[in-house]
Amino acid sequence: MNPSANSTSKWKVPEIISFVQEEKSKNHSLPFIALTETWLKSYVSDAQLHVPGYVVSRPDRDARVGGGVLLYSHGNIPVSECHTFDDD
Amino acid sequence: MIDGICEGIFCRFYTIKTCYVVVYRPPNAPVESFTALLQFVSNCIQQVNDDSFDHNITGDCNLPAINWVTATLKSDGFSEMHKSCRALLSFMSEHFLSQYVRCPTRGNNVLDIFLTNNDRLITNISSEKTELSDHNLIDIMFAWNPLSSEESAIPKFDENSFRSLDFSKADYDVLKQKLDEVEWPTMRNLCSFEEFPALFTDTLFQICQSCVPQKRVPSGRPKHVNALRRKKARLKTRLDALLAMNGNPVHIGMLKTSLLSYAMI
Repeated sequence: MNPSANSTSKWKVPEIISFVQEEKSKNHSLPFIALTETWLKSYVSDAQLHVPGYVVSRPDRDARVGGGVLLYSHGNIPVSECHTFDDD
Repeated sequence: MIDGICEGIFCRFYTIKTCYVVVYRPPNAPVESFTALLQFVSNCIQQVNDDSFDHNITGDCNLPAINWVTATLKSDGFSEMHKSCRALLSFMSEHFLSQYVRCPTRGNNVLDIFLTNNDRLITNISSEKTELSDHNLIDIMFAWNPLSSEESAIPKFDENSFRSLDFSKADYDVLKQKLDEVEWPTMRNLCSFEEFPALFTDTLFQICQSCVPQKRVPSGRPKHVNALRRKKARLKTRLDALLAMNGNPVHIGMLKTSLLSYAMI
């Protein structure tokens, strides 16, 4: 089984892509999209989470089950710095 | 089985002077993990060290015990969740943050929150069910879109609504007297039961309009900038006065130097 077949890359990302495109067709652009419960591990590549026009910022929980946070920001707003918190 | 570890990501966007934090607190998280997360966010905010930045914090905190209308606990207690609720509320007051999500985000609970230190940022928040999650999808509308190059519009109030009136400057003695003068029972008999609410509201609005001043349209400039501009104006007046009466050149020099530091405003 493909290890990337978790809920985020399989279901949430396509949904976000279609949502962003729908908004774009109405001339709206979303600056930020925040997700929780991504359940992402580091073997899921950024390419698998790619939403056209957006940059993805993410910490991963390799040793954990569940959880996970993620922020998409529009490519026109550059990310100046990024820190992650994971209480080990 | 979900472990009890909190997590967060902090991103700074220098070009729009905004920081975004996404947080997650599992339902069974011990208070130590949650306070460590809040401390991490505090440290990041302190590192930015710039009051003009907007700090927006969003995510799922799983804290249904907070009543967000009053920003207080719904019940007393010393469980890990109650302690975490108190930690969050004191974190918010420390950083001048308010929580704006009022609509339930899972079942009847407000679990997903949005905190910001900019009280003009949010114009609307709605949530809708989604097939993707047991939590709702939350749509947060901003007063300005950093992606749009257009000048943001200053919010204007409908002149014929109560929101256009500045009740902090109302003359309540006059207002009370005028309200006492109205013969409500007579008015009630003038129209049908269905029509009365509209007549009641109109009468009330007309009375309020007569003794409550209109709100001034905000300049869109933050308060501290206005304070600095006033200070600059005062210094300039003093300098002009000194120049006009050929005052002490040392004083004039000092005033000119301090005015230079306000040149950007």
